[in-house]
Amino acid sequence: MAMQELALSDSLRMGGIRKSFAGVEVLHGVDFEVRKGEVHALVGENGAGKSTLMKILAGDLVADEGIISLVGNQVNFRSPSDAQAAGIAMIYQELSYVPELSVAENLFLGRIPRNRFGLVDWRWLTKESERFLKEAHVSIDPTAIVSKLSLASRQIIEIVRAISRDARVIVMDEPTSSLTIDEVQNLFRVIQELKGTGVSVIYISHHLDEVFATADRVTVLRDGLSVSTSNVAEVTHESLVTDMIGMQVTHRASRAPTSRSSEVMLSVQELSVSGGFDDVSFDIAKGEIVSLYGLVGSGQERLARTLYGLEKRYSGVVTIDGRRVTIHSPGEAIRRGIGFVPADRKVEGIVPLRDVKENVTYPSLPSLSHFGILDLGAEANLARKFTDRLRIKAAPHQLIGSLSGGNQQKAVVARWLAHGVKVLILMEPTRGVDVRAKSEIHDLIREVAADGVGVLVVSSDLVEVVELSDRIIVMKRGRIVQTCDAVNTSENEVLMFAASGRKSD
Amino acid sequence: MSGIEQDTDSQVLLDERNLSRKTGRFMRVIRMKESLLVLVLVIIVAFFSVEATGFTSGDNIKTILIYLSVLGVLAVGQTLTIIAGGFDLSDGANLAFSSVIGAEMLTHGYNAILAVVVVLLVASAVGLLNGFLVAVMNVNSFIATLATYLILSGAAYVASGSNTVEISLNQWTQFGRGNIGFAPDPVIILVVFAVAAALILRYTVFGRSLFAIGGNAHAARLAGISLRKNLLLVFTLSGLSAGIAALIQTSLASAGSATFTGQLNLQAITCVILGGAALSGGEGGIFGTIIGVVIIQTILDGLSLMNISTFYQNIVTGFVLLIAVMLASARLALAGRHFMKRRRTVSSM
Repeated sequence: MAMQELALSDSLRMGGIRKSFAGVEVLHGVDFEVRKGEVHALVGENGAGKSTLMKILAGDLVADEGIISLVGNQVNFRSPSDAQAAGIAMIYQELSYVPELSVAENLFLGRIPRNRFGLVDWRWLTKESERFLKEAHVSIDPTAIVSKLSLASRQIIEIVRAISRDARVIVMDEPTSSLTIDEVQNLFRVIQELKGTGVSVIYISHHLDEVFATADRVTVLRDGLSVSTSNVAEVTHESLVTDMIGMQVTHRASRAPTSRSSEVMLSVQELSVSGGFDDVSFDIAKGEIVSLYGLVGSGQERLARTLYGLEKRYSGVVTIDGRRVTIHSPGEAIRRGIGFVPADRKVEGIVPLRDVKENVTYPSLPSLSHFGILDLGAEANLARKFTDRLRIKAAPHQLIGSLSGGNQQKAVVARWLAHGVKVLILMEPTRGVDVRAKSEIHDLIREVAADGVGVLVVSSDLVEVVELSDRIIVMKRGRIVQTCDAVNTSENEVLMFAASGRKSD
Repeated sequence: MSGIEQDTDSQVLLDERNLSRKTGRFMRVIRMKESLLVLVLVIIVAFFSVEATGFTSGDNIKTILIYLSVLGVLAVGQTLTIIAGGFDLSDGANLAFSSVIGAEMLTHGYNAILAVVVVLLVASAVGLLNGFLVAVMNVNSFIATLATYLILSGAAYVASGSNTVEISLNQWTQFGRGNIGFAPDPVIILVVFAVAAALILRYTVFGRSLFAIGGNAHAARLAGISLRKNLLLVFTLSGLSAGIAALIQTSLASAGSATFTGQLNLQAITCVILGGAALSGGEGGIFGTIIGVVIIQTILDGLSLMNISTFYQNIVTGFVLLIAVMLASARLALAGRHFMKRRRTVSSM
């Protein structure tokens, strides 16, 4: 009896979902069920499998095994249009509207009605749009051009569009990442309205406080498995974080603390970039490795880019090795002694069709030339010295695009060692490199610090952050919420600060 | 989600391993391609030697060399721009405009040396303007130089009153028609300019920076290479090349004329691409470009010796360009470049 009731109230059920990519299984039989008219939060660390699971639900990916059923009927999504027709709607982080069209046209995109002359039936279009907008209790003019609206309004339009297509399950992936606090409240109100109409919402977020504010139940994914599903009222921040990370004992590499001195290499005072981060202050000592950690969109990335002159406008004071500096371009940052290893090697790091030697010596060209004429011998020596020292497995004349990700990354690091920097900023230093290269790069970063360089690491890899750094600065919504000594801090604690902005009780 | 990321990453790693194998082949293909170009040239020369009477005469060979020097100087300038990931569509119109200015100065009694200096300055200033539009105003280089091309080709007609501005014999025209040893002056000029450009590409920070910017503007900028400075300079050099070509052309014709514009810009680009430069930037060389120029000029000369009309010459040039483009894309496919997603911040390029 009870079983039957439960089955009836299930709007969506995904059972035993398995999915592999290139022979590596990332979902190991996930079970996930959502009731009619509930808000169900889906949480987990980066890489836990949330997006893959949702892509399977949306028909973007096809599961290798497992079943999906909607209100008791098994479904088989072969494409996104199958899923849409069945009432699944995705509200993505990058919204999928046509910016130059009106709200009404976007709402009915692909099914715009025609009148008997075969022309667009504007009257019907406007009237219907008004009706749907009113039902959702939002005051947006259906004739407004979408590109002129705020991001929050566009998001609401996406949701209204989903409703107008009779969506039964709406998936929201990090919906608040670019909203103000008021806009978040408004979104929560719309979500409550949706619940009232029997629509189910799957709410994916890194921000646990949002989960507590809006969700009825929460499912935690970890390493491709669903580890728990509970009523939100029955869980705490801490129990969620524990489920997300697991109780694994961290095998921290026993390492001597880096030889950090008390001499400050980089000092940042009250640094702000509007819309990015606010009033950030911290120091990095000579020889110290400091990590900036935050969930997606917490401002750590833009902070690092600001220090490399990639933000046009900032306020605050930056001091390097005791000298107050202004930094408005990468060239200026390099002259001040800052090096930068970008997150996306292929886009920002390397010039793939040039050789390793050239890629290593770009910032050093001024010192390798007289009146603009290169000293090719000195260049070759410099490049060889650092490719050898960093054990880059390639000849200096080999095209850098032909190397493995790990060796490319080492070459980009070598670039800054060859040039000689006071502060080295590394973004996602080991993303997309294999395990061996990862540990080599970690050793390399420690060596760099041991040479007296102040190192700033921005990484979303929590294990890396805790293992590699001396100190961890945790950011949330553009502010520093906590600075911790890495030796006495666990991954759990760091994630706790990042997700909820406070320490566990 | 990182599951997928890991997947694509491992895929990329695989591709990279394949690429490193392919790179060996790729390098061979490049070498092959230049020898292939020379082979193509030999076949063309052999064909015209048999089919076109007078093709092998000393006078005709000299004519080819003299006339290819105009296109050659433009193509050398264009090579630098294309390596940096840009275009210069205005070089032919710049040539015509500055030739008209120079010729008008002479007919108004100015000193020939002064006229030469003004021609070079005007042409370089136009190049600097292109550079400003591209590097400072962030206008796409195709659009920026298309605009200056239209403006200058019109301005050349206005400045000359649609007439050919004939000039009498003077130091300028004498120089362009003289010889140093056996070599005609224009050929000497081309050789000096081409060697200078090749040395710049190989031995200077500027040359290195052009390859970096054309190869990945975003990465070049983050590695401390100034896009602004280098792009300003490369477009100015392209303007200067138009000025030098204008000096040769004006001297050969004993006149300045708006009609010089012709299709020189597209012919120059044809030569550069034929010579192995990538239209997307980051690759190319002076040697290949010069072979491209010789091929194009030989075809044009041979066809006119055979009394084949200019219309057919256009058709043949068109086919040569098509073959060049197909060669280029076949080469890119071999290089496995398709997976190297290269977003370019400087969309202008």
